Amino acid sequence: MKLLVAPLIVTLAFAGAASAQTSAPLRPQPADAGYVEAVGQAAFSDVTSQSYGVEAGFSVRPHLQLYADIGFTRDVAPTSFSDAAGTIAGGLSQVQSNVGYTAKEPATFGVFGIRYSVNVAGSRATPYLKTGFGLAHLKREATFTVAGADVTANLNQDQYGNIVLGSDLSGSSNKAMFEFGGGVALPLFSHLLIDLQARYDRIFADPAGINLIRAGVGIGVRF
Amino acid sequence: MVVAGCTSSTAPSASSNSVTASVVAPRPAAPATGAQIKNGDQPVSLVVQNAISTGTGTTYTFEVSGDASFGAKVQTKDGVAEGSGGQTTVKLDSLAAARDYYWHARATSGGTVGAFGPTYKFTIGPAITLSTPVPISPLTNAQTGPRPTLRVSNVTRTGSAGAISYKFEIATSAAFSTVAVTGIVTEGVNETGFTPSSDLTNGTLYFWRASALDITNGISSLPSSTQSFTPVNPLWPGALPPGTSGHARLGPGWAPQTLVSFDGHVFDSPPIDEQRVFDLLDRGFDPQGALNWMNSNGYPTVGVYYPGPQVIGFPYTYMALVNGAWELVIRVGG
Repeated sequence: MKLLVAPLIVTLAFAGAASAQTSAPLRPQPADAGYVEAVGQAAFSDVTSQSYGVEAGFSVRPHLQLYADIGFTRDVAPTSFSDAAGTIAGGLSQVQSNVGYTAKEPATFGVFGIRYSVNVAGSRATPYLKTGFGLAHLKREATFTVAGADVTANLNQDQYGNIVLGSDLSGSSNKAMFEFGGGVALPLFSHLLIDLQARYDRIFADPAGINLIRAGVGIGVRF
Repeated sequence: MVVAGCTSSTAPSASSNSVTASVVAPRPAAPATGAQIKNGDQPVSLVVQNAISTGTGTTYTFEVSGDASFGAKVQTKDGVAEGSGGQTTVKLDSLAAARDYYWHARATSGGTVGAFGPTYKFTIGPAITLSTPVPISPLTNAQTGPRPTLRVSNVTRTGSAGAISYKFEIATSAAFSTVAVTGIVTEGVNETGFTPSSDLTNGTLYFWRASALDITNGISSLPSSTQSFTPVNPLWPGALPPGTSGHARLGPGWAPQTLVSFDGHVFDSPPIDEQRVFDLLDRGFDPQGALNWMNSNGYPTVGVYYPGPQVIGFPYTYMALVNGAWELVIRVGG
């Protein structure tokens, strides 16, 4: 957990120092009406994966923005998911040889929340913190192969062990999601910005919640 | 792309667990498909290799049907708890004889009703009944030789019985806790007999009974009523002389036959006294010693020994030692 929040602490420290050096009253900057950016991230849950999406926000008060973060993480499968798939593959191997399996749980999500930015005197960098709630759509994708051929759709046959996949290995569900994160937005030129960011997400999944860390970069425009 | 050095872990959710388990169907283990089961071996036990499940609390449903499509189910055993040792067993109620049956099983686990596993078939054999054998002889308290032939009347049977055999048991207790001799013989005409292959102990009270067997179909009758007998030595029903055989040799004249004496008396030859004397000679007695032992041990005899010609005289015969062998000679005069 210490490692999990490390990027955020760095961001907060940076923001705190900047705030202490600021003597001018906080006010929206001319180009702070809003922003839109595309993000690409490394994603860490029980597995390491990738995440990408779009984030946009607009200012409602000086330094305060409402934002929407819509994205897709390729795999957030907990260890229990992979273990369950392995268990079923073991059953399949009792009636077939050369059995293989894959277990992935991609998540598509949308989060809405608030983002607080601070100005740093003498710097063009704008640190920020953000938090929000949303919804994650989890899709459980367990596939089973025999001699390289996908037999997932035929698992209920005698030759494949009359297997019934439960919702632990198939189907999809929508679960609430909490997000907390931070970063530093750096203007490049004109309205173009780069956003170095880290996110902690908690997806309230069954039978156990999923902790997801995303760290990456966003490139967008501010207006 | 920036990659941060982070770790994370899953943690139990506060929400209720609505996830259902995945289930690999149980696989039939016994009886093997195509098994022929004797009607008398019922009740049949069905055994499956336990299902594999990602959930807990697995229970099993067994279905037995008269047709392969399970349109005519005859028994369903539901909610059977998972057995230990990797297998689960359920005992069926009695099934009708002489029919084919199909069975399969499924598991329910973690909120998921699994699929039925492969269908296996077994056949219950025909219903066969055998009546109880009736003893003919020896009946209770009989005295017999050391190898009596035990005889029973053949049983009657219903159904398509196979070849019938009879199991004879001879024991030293009426409870047959100690069986001395057992023999299985094929059925004879109208009656069936069994003779022990070795001598029973003289003077011992034995009990015997017989059961009819249809080995092909694994059917057996109830045992017959118990009878008893006591083997006796025809030569020495009382005191048994000492010694071992091998000291004398039989000559001519000992063949069993019915004769008429010189005075018209019909008798069976060899007479019992002559047999006893020879047995004593064979045990190492000298001729006079043999006669003396008989007279003093409850086997009185009128035999007289004549040492000169080595002859032992009796009322209608005499024994003569000729060339080292004891001949039995019919007397031609008084």
